[in-house]
Amino acid sequence: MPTLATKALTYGYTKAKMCLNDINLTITPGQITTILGPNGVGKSTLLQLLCGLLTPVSGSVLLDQQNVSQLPPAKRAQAIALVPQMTSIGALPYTVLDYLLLGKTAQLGLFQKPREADYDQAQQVLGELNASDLLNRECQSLSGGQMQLVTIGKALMQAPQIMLLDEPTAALDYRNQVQILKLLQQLADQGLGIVLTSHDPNQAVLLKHHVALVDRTGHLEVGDMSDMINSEKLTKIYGTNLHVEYVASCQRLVCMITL
Amino acid sequence: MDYRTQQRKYHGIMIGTLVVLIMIFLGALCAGRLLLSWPDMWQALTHPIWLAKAPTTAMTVIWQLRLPRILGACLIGFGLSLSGGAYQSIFQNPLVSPDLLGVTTGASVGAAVAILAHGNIIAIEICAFVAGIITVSLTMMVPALLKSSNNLTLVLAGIVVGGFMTAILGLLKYLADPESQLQDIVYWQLGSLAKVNYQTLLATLPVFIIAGGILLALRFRLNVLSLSPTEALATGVNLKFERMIVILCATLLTAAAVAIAGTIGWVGLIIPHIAKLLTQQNNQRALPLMGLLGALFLLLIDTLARTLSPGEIPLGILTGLLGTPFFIGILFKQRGRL
Repeated sequence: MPTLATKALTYGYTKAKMCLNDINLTITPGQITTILGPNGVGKSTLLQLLCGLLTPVSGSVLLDQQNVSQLPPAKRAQAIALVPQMTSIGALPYTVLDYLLLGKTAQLGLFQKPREADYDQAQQVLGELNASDLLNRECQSLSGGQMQLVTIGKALMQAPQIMLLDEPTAALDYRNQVQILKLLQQLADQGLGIVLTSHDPNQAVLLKHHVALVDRTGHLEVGDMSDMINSEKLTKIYGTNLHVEYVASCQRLVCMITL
Repeated sequence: MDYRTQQRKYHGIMIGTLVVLIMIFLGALCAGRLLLSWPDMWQALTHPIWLAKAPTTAMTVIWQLRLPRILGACLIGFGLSLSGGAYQSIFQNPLVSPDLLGVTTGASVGAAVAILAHGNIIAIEICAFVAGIITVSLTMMVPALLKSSNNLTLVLAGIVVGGFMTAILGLLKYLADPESQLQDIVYWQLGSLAKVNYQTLLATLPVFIIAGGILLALRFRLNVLSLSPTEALATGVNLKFERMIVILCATLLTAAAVAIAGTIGWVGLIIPHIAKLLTQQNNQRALPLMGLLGALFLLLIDTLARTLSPGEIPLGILTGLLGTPFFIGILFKQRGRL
């Protein structure tokens, strides 16, 4: 399983202002990294840099020592899958099966179409997501939770080693949030390296593993969840009072906001 | 429905469409001012005029008048509907037609220039084709100058360049001799297959085969290119390159169609919708069906155009008259999606 790492990564949309500065982050197989930070600090930008859709101003993103932004698109997509926050699934007229098959693009030649085995894999992926009944549904008819599940299914069709998810639980109810978080844990247990962005530190606590905090100057601090989730750090990062304490009935740290 | 069942249903639709196309093809060979019986038509069709020592009237009508025209209708219908379907997919807009990037108005300007310069039919077709391609190149230059890869910039550029070409066309019509040239320009703008012959067909056949073949081969990629740019890139697509190939092929098909038959509206708009309606919106299945249905539709329209009245009704009028209610019907059927 490959390792994805950034070395002194710096990026800005304009030359005058860099939004991400000197980022050093390593994603290893089987590990979940939750990126937390206020709106607009560049969390989504960082995910796009990690999968090579943006080219760093300086520094690099390396997939097993190969520069990601210089890899051919298909080769890159075979290793790294991205689940963007805004997907077009709700606007597409395709069935779930046809949508899932789009995930095979990186494995197919320019003029090839999906093979019989790819159709079987799509059924298998939906089975693993406990969503076999969605196979022939139209994407536009799915609920928000189902759409997110199918979008992750499409990313799994790429058979990636690393999966990047941009706020995968945004706009989902608690039941669906739990389903997605459990799924991410399962995928990490199977050896997938997972990076997600979130606005809820409680999710980082639930997922354990690593937490990366991005501050308003575009600097990133990464460490074990237990070292990173505390009142002082979160209050500083978000610029508002956040209170973190251990709640015995939940058997975990809980992050609370106060007005 | 299981995908294997879907596949069987799709093959059934394809075979059914092909059978209907062949039947209309043979029917169109019989129909016309000189109505031929089935045996007479078959007799003439199976005896090429070039090999006959004393060609019969039926042979002349079939081989020199109807066959090139019918083949032209099929090719143009195939090309226009494929290019319309491709444009609709990559611009993620179901209301897009093949003239989105100004190819049709550009070709009209080329044809009008040739008509004003007293060019023959071949000159008109060459000018139309070249001007169509130049117009699309101008359209594509605008986003390049603005360094924007946004679809919307390209569509707006198409509208602006198309508007400019419409103004030039207006000027050319103003300058044209109202007794002869103006009629020719308007007639050409309304679209007709009356002047299609083997020479023009052979000249444009490679464009239809190569550009159409590439679009058909890329039909799965068209599904991927319908995704948002970030998603498509993350899926492993070389977005700029593949989008450029699709636009190039769709433009070449439209330019070739417009060059030999003038502007024929509606085919590229409604046929892709019908094909997608029958194939669960999947380009992978819809595109081959689009080609067949486009050929069938235009052949039917052209046969009506030359048989309904003693004179010939311009195609643009018939496609518009039939296309409008048809399109409203499709919208009604898809009302849940709108």
